[in-house]
Amino acid sequence: MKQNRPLSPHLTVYKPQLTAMLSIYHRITGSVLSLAIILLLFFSKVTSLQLENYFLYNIGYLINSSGHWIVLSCLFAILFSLYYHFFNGIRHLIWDRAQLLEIQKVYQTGYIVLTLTVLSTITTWYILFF
Amino acid sequence: MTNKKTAILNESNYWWLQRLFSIILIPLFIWFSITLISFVTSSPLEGITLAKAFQYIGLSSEKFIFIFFSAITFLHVSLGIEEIIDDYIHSEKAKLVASILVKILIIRLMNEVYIFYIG
Repeated sequence: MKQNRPLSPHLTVYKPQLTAMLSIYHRITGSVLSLAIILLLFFSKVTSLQLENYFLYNIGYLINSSGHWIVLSCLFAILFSLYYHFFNGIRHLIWDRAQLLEIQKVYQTGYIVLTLTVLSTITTWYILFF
Repeated sequence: MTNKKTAILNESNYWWLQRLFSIILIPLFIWFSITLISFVTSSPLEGITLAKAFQYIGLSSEKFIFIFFSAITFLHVSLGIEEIIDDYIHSEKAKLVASILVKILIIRLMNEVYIFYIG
């Protein structure tokens, strides 16, 4: 690796804009969702009824039925990431047809994506738990 | 995509394949979320786990759409992680190792889903 050379500040001084924040959040949600697939597969296998090891089954059952706020907030974060990645993916596909590329339309579609994800997660949460 | 000597896809075909998977996944994801939510709401709320929901889908008549949806999802994940590896890892050897390991992991996960929920 090269030695530490001095750099001018880049991330600490640049104004955070909606375009940059939504773009990096698309990549972050993509990677978080791929980790969540692995975790949810492993977790659903542990909580299944065909497991011969009672110790692991008991751990999975306690985590699943406790309703602890850590578990529920992780589920809420995964749900929010899923809906955000879906709607922003549609926005990327619209850009790939070279449409809605002006800066005003970019901001408008960005706000539309954010409101859609918030509405979707709130309605899904309400349907699942109430 | 990363190394020209060992890459399977060139960048243009990679771009089109990723877009194809994304377009196919739009109606499939809508179907998947609707079936999951309807399963959870139509059965008593005690004792519902994610495993039971997936097993219900795997035993019903919709299992072929579920196989197709999970396959396209895992391929989409594989191409997406390949792009992240290409952006953030700066040595060619490490890129090659990481992309091969990710592809093996994706195949293993597809195997797990098929055996556990369908086969």
